[in-house]
Amino acid sequence: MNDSEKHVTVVKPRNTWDILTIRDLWEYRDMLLYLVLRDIKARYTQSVLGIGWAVLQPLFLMIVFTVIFGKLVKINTNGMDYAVFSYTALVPWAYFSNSLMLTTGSLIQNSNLLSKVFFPRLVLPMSTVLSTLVDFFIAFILVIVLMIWYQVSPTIWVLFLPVLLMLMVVLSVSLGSLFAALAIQYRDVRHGIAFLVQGMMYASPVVYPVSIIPDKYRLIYGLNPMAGVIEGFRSALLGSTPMPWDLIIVGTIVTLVLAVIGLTYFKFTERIFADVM
Amino acid sequence: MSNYAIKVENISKRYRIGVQQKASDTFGGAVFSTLSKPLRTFNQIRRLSSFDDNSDQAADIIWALRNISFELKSGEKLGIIGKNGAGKSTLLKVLSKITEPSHGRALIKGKVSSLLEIGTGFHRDLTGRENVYLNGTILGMSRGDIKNKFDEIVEFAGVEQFIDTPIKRYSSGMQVRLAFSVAAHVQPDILIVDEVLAVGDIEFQRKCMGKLDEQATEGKTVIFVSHNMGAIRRLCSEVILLNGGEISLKGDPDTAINEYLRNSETTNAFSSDAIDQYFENDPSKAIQIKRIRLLNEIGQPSYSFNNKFPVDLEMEIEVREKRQDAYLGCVMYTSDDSILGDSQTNDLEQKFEWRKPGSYVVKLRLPADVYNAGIYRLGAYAALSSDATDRRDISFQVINGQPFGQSVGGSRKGALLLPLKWEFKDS
Repeated sequence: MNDSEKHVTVVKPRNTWDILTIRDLWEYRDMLLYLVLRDIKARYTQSVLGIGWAVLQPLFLMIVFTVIFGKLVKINTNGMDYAVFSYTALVPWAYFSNSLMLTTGSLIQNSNLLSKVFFPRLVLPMSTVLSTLVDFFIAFILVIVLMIWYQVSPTIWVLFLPVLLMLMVVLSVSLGSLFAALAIQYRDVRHGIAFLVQGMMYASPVVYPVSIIPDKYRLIYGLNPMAGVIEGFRSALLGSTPMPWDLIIVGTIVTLVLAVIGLTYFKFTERIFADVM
Repeated sequence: MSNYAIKVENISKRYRIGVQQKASDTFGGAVFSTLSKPLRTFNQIRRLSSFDDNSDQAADIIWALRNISFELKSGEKLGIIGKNGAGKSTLLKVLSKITEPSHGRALIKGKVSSLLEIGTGFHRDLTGRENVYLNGTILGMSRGDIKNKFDEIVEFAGVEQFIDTPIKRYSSGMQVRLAFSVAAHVQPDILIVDEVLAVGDIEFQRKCMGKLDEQATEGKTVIFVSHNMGAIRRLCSEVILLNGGEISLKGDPDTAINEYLRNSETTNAFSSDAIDQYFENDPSKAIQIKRIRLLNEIGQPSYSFNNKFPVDLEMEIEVREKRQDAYLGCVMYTSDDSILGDSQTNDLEQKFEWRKPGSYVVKLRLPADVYNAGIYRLGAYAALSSDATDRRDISFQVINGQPFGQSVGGSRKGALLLPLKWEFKDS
């Protein structure tokens, strides 16, 4: 290669807000792939149930919720059996909560990489979010089994599920990278995130339908992007409620705002990761 | 346009180190300090990343690098030496984009690969094969690159049989070999290497050095940090000596290494690494070593010697009592501390007994053409057969300048070159 064709890298203190360097990320796509594989494999090797744990977590919650909220509290589910009603919501919820918690710790867990090798730091939270997706798909198989068991037929909107899935992934990456960047400097964030996730579950239509929210608070409720996603899953798969377009639109806007904030903060602080951890 | 590969302009790097809080000595103060601890901790953590302009002089700031500037042409090999804490690793981290300089900038032309550690990202549960791919991509190779070099990598590491076994079942030596092998097969324009060669057994270390030599001869630009002066001398065309975050000398390897060794001698007078050691008078000893040093072919004290020339051990011996049983000796050790031999003045006609009190300069010549490349240690002693001995150690390094010390498979084994005579007869 001729000298003048070579790419010149400038290493200098950054005072300006750099725009996301997609080119870097693309160059390291193979690393992203192998980090995802590593995460998946490391999570389930030498475990008897292995990937079965991905199903067990939402399944266990489904059983608990069915007993408490289905049988004892008797929440109105528009005639849907509570087991399938809650499991359909628990699968996207479990994905979101797990990926958010794992992503928040992703930089801390890989601090040896941060201090020894250069690579676009965003690869780390992204790989975590993507590897958790495998759990999602495994857990989703049981949704199909339950639907057959309870003889529920999906609506045409199942075709819309990939969009909801994408919304969920983007939300996880945005919030996850924001919290990961905070957590590498302030470890408190990692502890605090457990509370946040717990609180968010009750702010999402997991154990109850959106219909119990009074109409005037509905859009405020929709500020939690997971509200639209979860109710959208239910609507598409069970047809028990119409597609909650208003929630999805509000949720998408909020997600995009969070994406800008999260990725900008991440990008802005990544240069000091190695110094502050 | 100048044909630089790396141009470093006035790079400085500051770190904030935590300053110990003063413990309070009153009960009220203790309560207050406990309650306000979260706030103080928050400020402390926040300050790790915020430096306002007038904080440059603050007590808890240290400058790991100060105004470092140099330029490296394409294909040049730069060695960086210096004491621990001199800023070597920080400089490599800045050039590798792991951490950002506080001031200044560096221009880097081409693809950089930095090996600050080997096996970064290795995971115990993954197989050798998976780890090669994971580690390779982390070091910036593409999947295609790794696929092409896969067999070569595995063969170099010598783990063909176990490549599909999780590496937690590997011996630590096998893990290290695999890790180095991946690192050695990255093909950048610029290679930044931190002391990663001190791994594995001697055999493998030699293989590693060979691989690095290969990269160097291929015309790659190399920046190499090491405490192994032999490796620096052999690989590098230019050496920077760092001291307290600043460049204290930039020049050819010999000048820089000698300067470094002279420096470490003044701060570390009793280490056997110092090249010219003086010792305090000790009147309780009837015979004492006052000074010990090793001289090269032009009579200069040195640490590193070319085996084309002899090495002179020079001692100043103080005799305080005229004794019949006085003698001098010297044990020679190889780098793994096994004894190579022991020489004594008793072996000679001219013994060291019945010397009048006074100072004597004694020379012991280690012949040329005998010692193989490596690190050696001499334990010189002045002794009385009835009494405790006065013993001083000094280390040195031999580098190979012999055409016959080289062989097809890298350098020759063992401590001695054995320049023996072979005879052939055609039958």
